[in-house]
Amino acid sequence: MSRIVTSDDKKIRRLRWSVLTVFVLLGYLLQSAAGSVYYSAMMQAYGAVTSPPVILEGGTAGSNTIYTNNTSARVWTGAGDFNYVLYMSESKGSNWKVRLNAYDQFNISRLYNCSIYIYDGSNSTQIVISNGTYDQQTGPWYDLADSDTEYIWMHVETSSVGISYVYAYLEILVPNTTTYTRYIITFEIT
Amino acid sequence: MKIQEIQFRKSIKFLTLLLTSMLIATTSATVYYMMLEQSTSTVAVAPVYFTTGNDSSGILTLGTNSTYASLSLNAYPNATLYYEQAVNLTATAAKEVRLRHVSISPDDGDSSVSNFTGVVFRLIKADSTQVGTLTYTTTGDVWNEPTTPTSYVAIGAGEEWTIKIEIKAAPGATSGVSTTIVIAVDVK
Repeated sequence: MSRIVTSDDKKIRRLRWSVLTVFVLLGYLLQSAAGSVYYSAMMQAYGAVTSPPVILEGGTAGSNTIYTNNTSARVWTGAGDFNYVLYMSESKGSNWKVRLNAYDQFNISRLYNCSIYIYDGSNSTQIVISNGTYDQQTGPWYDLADSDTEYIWMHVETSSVGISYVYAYLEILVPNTTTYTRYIITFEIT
Repeated sequence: MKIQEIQFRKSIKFLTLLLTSMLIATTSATVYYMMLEQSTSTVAVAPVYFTTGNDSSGILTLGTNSTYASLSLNAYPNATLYYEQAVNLTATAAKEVRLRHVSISPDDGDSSVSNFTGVVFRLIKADSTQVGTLTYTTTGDVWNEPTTPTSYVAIGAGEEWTIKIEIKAAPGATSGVSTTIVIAVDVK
């Protein structure tokens, strides 16, 4: 059965199209305006290469390798006391704070006692492994004054034959700030 | 085939009218927006601006109204230097912020580029949550820059966030060699 189209029907159809057109246009315009409301604060970072604040130097105990720029090192020891495995010398004419922070390890279960210290007249215990687990993983901050030289020493007792690794950062802090640098030191213990 | 013969020819006419209207509206809206902005511009304090952090002393210079920050950083060869609070962001109204790369120099191909290993900018919320990172690394004399901005993140009125910077020079890097990175903190 066909429906008779009246003039009112035609008017309603036209009106429907008109309303639709207005909505589409409004949506289009509002979207454009909303997307434009923002601003940018600019930041310029200038970075310059400069000499490191602390220089690592090889000690007289165990064996060691000092890498390029004296900012990372590898140390080899066995069981026993190893004084002077590494030296650290202040080189920028400023005061700093330093500490050791063990961030990774391999096969430390054989380390019955592995203690690593910073020494300059008094001991600062930095890393302690007892019966294969950490008793202390990060040391307290230790003052490294202008032109000072301090050293790292170790006491090692093992419970079995093998090889262990302790991966540590030497962290060097600018006093009264949270600005610090990290040198990587690998301790290889047979 | 003539247009009169097409079924629903009124619909096609309306569609043509609609598309034409949108084209006109786009142009009109752009012009109108620019006029509106000029006529209603007033000097106002930016709702998000730079402030000093724990590590800003001696490295940070703020521009007028604190909407520009200039940082002077060190880079040590073969060691990473961390500025936990190089510069802070303070909000006086609820907004959304993101970090966006703008420019870096020297350009790719300059032999001094290889003196750097990387520079990282981290956007850190007041609760220490990291919400965005821009990472720059090098491959030989070419910079690998961040290609997309970080996502917009809501910052509340009264909150103070920080931008942490990590910078590392290559082993054997030459003292005095420098780089300049410009980033934008977009606020909406």
